[in-house]
Amino acid sequence: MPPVDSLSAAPQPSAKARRKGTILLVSGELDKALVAFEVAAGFQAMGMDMSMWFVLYGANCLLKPRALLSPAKWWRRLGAGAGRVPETDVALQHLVRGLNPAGAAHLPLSQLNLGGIGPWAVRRIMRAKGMAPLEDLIHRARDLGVRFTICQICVDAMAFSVPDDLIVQAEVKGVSTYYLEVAAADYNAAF
Amino acid sequence: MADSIDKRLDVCGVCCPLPIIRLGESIAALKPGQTLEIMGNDPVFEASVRDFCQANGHTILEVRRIDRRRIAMLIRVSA
Repeated sequence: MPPVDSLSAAPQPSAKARRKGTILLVSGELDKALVAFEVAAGFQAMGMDMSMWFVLYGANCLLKPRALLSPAKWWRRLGAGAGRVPETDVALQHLVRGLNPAGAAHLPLSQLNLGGIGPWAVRRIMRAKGMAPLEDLIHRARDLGVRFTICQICVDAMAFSVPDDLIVQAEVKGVSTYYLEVAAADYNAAF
Repeated sequence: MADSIDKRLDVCGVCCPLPIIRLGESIAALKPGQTLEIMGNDPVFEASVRDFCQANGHTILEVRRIDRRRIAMLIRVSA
């Protein structure tokens, strides 16, 4: 017999009424993004419909990987796309886009970053332990059916071109849609 | 006992949450009543599979310890 714990009191999910969950990722740090995607992919696999929301630096992990000095960061026009208002762009947004780490492979750690040695060490340890790297987890989460949404004002302020700058499909929505999802969900977390 | 196993899945060498993700993908491709044998060596493997089956109503038919690390679990897919 399986061990009895708090889950046994929960109603069994049916095909009609699956439980729902949301995760809000604010941080652009590797450790927090990893936890967010592990929970999202794990919960989706357990049978919960997960929706991930990305604000500010949280969206960095969804960007196509670009090195700090990549011409694609510094020598490109601030693109148009879903959620963008190019008429109100200012030159400073080029600086933000250029200095902002782009891609799951370029995220720093929140502690012990040590100028990039920390993330390198964490990746090595994760590989040895059979843990999925962040890029892999993002694609697994997408394949399992996790939905991704990026905050519209962040897309506009940080000049992301959706979908051109992203490695996965994501919607661009505002806080009212987030409210509706949170109010209907059984699990809400922010990282 | 396990006369006909419809699918076998080996998740040795990967750790949480990958065994559950791979199990969920495999079970989605099976019909109700079919059986799946999953083998893993993650320290929380057995608990993970038990929790997965509890949350989704699948039945665990058999649990076998292969060696010090590896455990094989036979699951019947729920309706």
